[in-house]
Amino acid sequence: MNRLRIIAAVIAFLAIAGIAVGTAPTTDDDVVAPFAVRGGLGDTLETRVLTVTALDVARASSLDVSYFEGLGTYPEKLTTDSNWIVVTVRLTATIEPVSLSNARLRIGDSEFRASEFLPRPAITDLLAGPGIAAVGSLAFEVSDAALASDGAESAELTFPTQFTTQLDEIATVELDLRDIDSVPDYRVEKAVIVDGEK
Amino acid sequence: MSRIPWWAWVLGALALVVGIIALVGGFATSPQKELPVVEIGETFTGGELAASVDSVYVTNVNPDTGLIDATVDYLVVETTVENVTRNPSAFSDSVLRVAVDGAIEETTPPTSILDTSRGLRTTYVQPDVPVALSYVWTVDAAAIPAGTTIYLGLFDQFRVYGDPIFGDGAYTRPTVVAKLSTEISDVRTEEVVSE
Repeated sequence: MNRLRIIAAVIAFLAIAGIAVGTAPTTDDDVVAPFAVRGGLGDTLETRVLTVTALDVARASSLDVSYFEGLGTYPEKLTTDSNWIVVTVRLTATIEPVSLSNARLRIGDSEFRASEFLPRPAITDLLAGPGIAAVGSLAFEVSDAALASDGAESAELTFPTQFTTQLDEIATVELDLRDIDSVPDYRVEKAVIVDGEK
Repeated sequence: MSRIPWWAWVLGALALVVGIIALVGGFATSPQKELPVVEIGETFTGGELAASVDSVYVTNVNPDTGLIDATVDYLVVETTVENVTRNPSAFSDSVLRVAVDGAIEETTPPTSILDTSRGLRTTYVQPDVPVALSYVWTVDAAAIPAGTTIYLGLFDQFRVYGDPIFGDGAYTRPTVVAKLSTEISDVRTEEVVSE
């Protein structure tokens, strides 16, 4: 009887060990992956360093950026042979000023970085202090292939605020980009401080 | 039959090994691999970017600002670059270098990299979105007259696996993977318009 118990215990131990090994993370990336704080268009997502809401999403072949207020000249239109995906966001930093210049749009296995071409004042270079909300647009130049892929149904807009995102919280907005009608010309508004709102 | 000495066996075995190596080409002179030569307009696809050199010209107008400085000229290399990976690439700052005798060292990075159609400085190339980029080097005025030979190198970088610090996320230093040369035939000179 004792022998049967020992055999059963060994089998149970091996089974548990097998499950532990089988479900263990296979790479270091899995161990230190950031935590996604997920939501959709209009949802307010709160992470360790920012609160962000994606207010609107649009698709266009040309951006009207005539709001440019800096010195010198700047093109009034930013045209593309691909597509512009423009997402208007409201951002509030919680601890210290944060930059959205690292914002990424993931469509399937392709990842696009927020365009550097929106002139100042843009949300990508606006460093509002903690508790001060700002509203502005992020533009992504995206290929036709990406928008035609299955991944366009479940695209993800993420807001990594630092180069290293390990174990940090990352606001992740889930977007369906399939049924957004493309307009020939989309007017981008300059980023502004929205006093008193989150 | 007298007994074969041990050293004869060793020599025989050695001769057999050397013979087999010679037979399979082990002692043949390894041909020195030449860098691929590309033509103007021809695309070379690296591991991160596919790039072609479309045109080369010298101008006295700063492509970045539109201003003229009588003491300097600008060598402009117009390219088409496409990111063949699935992530944004900043390698466009290293994919091209030029050398011009007495004017530009091959290690000198461009003064600016402009999106040609928009005239704006740029860093990132998005996946599957081809972009025309102008690489600009500032040189002394008249340092590159018509007929000057310009040597161009296209560069690539290679992933390093198991790096002790960066793991699988490290890359080698940019390495030249293709070359071309051309003579400057397009020298553009605009007069300063006084108001």
